[in-house]
Amino acid sequence: MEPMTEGLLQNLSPSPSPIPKIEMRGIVKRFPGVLANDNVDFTIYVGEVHALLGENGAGKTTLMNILYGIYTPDAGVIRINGSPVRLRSPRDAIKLGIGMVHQDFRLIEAHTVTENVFLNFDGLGFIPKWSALESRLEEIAANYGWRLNPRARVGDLSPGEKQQVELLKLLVRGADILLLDEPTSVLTPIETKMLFKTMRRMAEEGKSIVLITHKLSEAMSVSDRVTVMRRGRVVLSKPTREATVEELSTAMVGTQIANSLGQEQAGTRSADSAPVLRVSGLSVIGDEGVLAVRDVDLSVNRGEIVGVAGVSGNGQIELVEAIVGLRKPLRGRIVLNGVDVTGASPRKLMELGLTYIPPEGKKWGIVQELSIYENIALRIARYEPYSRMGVINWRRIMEVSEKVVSEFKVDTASIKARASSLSGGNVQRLILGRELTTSKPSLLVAAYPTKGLDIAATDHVKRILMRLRAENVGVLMLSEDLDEILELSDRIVVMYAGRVVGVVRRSEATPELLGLMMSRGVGAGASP
Amino acid sequence: MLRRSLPGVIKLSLRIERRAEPTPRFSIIVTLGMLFFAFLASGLIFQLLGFSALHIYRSFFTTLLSPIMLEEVFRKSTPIILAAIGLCYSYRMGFWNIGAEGQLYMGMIAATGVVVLHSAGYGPGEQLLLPAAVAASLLAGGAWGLIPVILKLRFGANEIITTLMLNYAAILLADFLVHGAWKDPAGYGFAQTVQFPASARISIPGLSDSIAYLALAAVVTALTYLVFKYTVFGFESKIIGLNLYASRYSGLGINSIMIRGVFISGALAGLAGLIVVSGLIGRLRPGASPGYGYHAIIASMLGGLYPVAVLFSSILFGMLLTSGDLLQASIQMPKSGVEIMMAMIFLATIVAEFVKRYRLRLSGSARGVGM
Repeated sequence: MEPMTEGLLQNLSPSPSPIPKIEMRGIVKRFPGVLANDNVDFTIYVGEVHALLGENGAGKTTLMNILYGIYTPDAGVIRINGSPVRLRSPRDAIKLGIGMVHQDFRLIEAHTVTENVFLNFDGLGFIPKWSALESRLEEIAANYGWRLNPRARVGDLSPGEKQQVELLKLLVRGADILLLDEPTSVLTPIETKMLFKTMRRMAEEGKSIVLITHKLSEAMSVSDRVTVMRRGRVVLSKPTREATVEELSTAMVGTQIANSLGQEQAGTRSADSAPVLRVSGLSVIGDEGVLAVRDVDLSVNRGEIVGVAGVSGNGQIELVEAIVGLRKPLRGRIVLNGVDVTGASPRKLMELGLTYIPPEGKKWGIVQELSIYENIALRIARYEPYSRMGVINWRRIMEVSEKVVSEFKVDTASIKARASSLSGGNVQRLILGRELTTSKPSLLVAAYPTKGLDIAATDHVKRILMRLRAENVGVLMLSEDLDEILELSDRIVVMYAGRVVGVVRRSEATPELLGLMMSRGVGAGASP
Repeated sequence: MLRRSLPGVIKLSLRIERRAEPTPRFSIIVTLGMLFFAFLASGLIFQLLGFSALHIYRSFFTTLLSPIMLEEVFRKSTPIILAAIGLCYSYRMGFWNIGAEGQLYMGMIAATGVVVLHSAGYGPGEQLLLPAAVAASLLAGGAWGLIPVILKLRFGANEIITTLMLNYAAILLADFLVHGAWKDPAGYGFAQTVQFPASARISIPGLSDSIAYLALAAVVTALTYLVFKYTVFGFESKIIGLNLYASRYSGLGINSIMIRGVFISGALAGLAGLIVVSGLIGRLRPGASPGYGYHAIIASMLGGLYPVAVLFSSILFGMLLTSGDLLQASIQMPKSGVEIMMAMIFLATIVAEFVKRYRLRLSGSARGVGM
């Protein structure tokens, strides 16, 4: 890995013992059912670029939102320049010189750069002196080598320039601690390079910059120090030049291979039993209008769990959405139990034996405003015997609901309770219970089934997946947790940039190998 | 930086917080409370305009006291009930149909068309005249509703715009016909169609007309209640309005449900149109509806899309319209006076929705950060 800005990095690294700018100690933040930050320590030094690295859901954004005053921590202290502070709102954070650039820009497109930057700015007076403000912005822009016209309409700017406007907003308010949340996700490679140059320059001026990212290469090329978070904890924190790519990728996705769930089953089934799902040459267009899935081949056999590993945003979700009928494929074929189902509707697929556990259960899987039994009706009301001639038999649905709630241990006072009262783990139990009680699938597709769940709920979900495998159901599972993939899968498909870069048998897989394939797209020699 | 507050200064701030899901009882109390405020506020406006608020309140309630007035209330309520019940089908799916007025006009035009054909010697005979008019009004209203829903599903056109524009199209079409081809030749040049013959008028033997209309509206309300509560279609249409993601995931036939729901919505507005031409006024003329389709929007919202509640909120609008006529005659209050009250009720409905979901909390917090 070649650092993009080696020269700068070397100039700065032998700095005498660094001065802490911000110290976060023992930060705990709990959301219902999730421990988002578990006793986190995080220190930012003066004049450094600090990469906060981790998968989605690792807790990095939560930590930064705490520092920016959006959340208050349940426990822990924050010190700025040595003195403890309480941050109740972003306003407090801004006063203390902390600024954040969010992933999505918060700009008014119809206004000029200057108008955007000085919106809600104290001390402008009744009639602002626009020309003075403009020249001030020109000065700052020149300092960082930006070609940004303060009189341009923001709507006409490129994403990279909009980001510069966001940075200007922070700079004119005197921010010297800048939190950048996945800043490169919208940038072209050239813009990214420009941004990194800016970040280095800011660090030279003594500002502290936190780069929140899940991209290893970015952390390696621009940061002085890197902290890796996983499942709400800090698992590694050291100067970047002492870190290796392999070490960081392993830290991000996890190393210890838990062995509590009957490991002996995994990887023992023969892969040549009848395929329940066969995908060939599949290409799918993503939300941005570009190819998200490129020419993917994949198969799932009966009684087998196939795990799809990959850093999020590499086409996994689009692949799954195409398979379950929520996204029309551009090219390729999907065959379920020998029937060509390319482009079939979710209902058709459901009736052919496919069951799907969606990501973000609260958004996709349930209707929060409805009761639990109505959420179960959601999926079955149109079928006999739950309805006849279009008239619903609510008593029958309630009977099934009682069964789902008791068999899948959904923790609720009554099936008449609103689904919005359920925790994340209970929502997932409800969805799994509904799907498995009301249908007999031959293929289960589960997208991030344990994401955001606590340990007990995660364990429950894993047991259900293993039970299905024992019952000869084929399972296709997405997960961001490599431990989980290694623990459950018979075969592991690794995706990178929309392609399958390798299929690895459980017996041949190691976290290091998978981590490397995931982060660099290096294919393994193994055949499907 | 001038506003940087001194440490220890207490600043009061108003916070908006989300409530837990409101219970039905709480919802009813909030709605009635807001309705009360709406009456109070409009009374204040009338007082400022030089009318006696008390007199106006009294005349509003006297509409319920005399049988003749009550009949008028029922006559005016029925088209509103039918159109408002129809709108419930649209709104529960999140389809913001504000085209009930146009769909109602299409219902009037279609029913009148049947009668005009009949009087010209074509079309259905005496026996089938009313059934044909009913069918025509249902189909025409429903078809007028299909245009925006298909535009939305096919091209993503915003239904608020398309339904509103189609209102004008329907109203102008009615004007065009009444001033032209359908003008009653024996009408002394008035812009109106022929009178509907007795066989095309709605009546139930043994019941006064107004009770008959109301009975029809009540039957539609009851059926709708059952559809919403016990049918797959009613249940699935609610899911579409609440969570489109879950609808897609659950494999609901979203397009088919939307098309059916909006068709029913338009058809019921068309039926309201039939009540107007075949019941209330017995012919088509310009301005045959004083805005029943718009009143229905407020009535369905005020009733929270619960059919039985919508029935009562529509009757409230019937009372308002009737007392408006009364006040115009007795104290020369302009017709727009009643519209002020309706607007206040509409505002109150919106505020009630807010109050049901959020609470305002006054909180004092010591400003000044750190140390």
